[in-house]
Amino acid sequence: MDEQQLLLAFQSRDPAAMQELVETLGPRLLRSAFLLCGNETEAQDLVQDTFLQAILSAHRFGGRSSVYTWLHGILLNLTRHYHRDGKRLVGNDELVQQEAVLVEDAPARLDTDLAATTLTEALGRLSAAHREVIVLRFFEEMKIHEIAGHLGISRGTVKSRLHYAIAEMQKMLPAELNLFGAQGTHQRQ
Amino acid sequence: MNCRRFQNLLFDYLDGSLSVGMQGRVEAHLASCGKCREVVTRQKQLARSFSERLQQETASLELRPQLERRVLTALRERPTATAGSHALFHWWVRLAGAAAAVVAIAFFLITSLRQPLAAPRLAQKATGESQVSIQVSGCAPVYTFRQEGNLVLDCLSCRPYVVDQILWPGKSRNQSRL
Repeated sequence: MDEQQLLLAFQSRDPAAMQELVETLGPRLLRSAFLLCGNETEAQDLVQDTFLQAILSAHRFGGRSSVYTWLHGILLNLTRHYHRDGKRLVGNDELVQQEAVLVEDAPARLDTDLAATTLTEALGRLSAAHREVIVLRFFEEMKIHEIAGHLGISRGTVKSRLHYAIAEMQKMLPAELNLFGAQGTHQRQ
Repeated sequence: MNCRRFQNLLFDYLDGSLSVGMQGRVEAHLASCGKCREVVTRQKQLARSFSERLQQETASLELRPQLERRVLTALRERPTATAGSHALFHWWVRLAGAAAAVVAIAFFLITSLRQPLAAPRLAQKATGESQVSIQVSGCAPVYTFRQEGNLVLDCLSCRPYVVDQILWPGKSRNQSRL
């Protein structure tokens, strides 16, 4: 479905069209939600709540942004409420236990899984505000002014959060996974 | 254009969102600064690698089947014709309620400020005794609530009151009425 078809599907509230809209945009929303909250179960709940909220707020969608951007805005708000209610991200202990199982069962896959877990783990250690800009910049591939509009903050704030978040990620990632190149901005010890 | 200035414009440069003039100045600086060129290269590699890694780590996630069913159930249960009209009705009612509250508050303030306090009166009785009476009047604010359907409407009004007090040497008589 192209953007126009998505928009018509959303506004028409036709069940078949809505089903296709969920199938088209839902997976990407789910991945974004997972990166924002760090837990797959909660991410599923957040995406479900996003679509439910979108149905309730359909009259407020003025078409000034894409349907996906509007849905992602709802997802962001719900994720912030999720954090504010005291729910934690997946803790390091749970990820360590997962890694331990992998070591015993499939040593050949260890490096790949460790690498994947480590990046998500590093993202989970950031504050919510810094995690948001990383996800929007590198997963949603938004530009600075788009991130600023989406989060309701200034472009300068977006840049400063990005700089800080990238520096923090660099400190947390192992040297072999350093995405900043062989030399990088900082050297891990 | 120096390196520090360029660092502040780095993300804008990568986004291609600089003005034509600023773009030219940045590229002139990059042409002469190997360090900043290296920064640009690393940032591009970072963005590419990070994006690929995030996509890989989340590629296995799938929407649970119940999610789609619940969304479609909610869609069927949600009335379509009244969603917009309810919102409009609520907006108008809220605006009317807010306007009524503002008018009531203004009325209360105006009447309170303009309500004169009666000066004490000195009356002479035929018997030669003197009498002093004081009359005080004003408006007491009254705030009421009433429910209409699923809305609660509030209203601020005022109720006038008058208090008469007559003072006698050794005797006193108070009278108040609302």
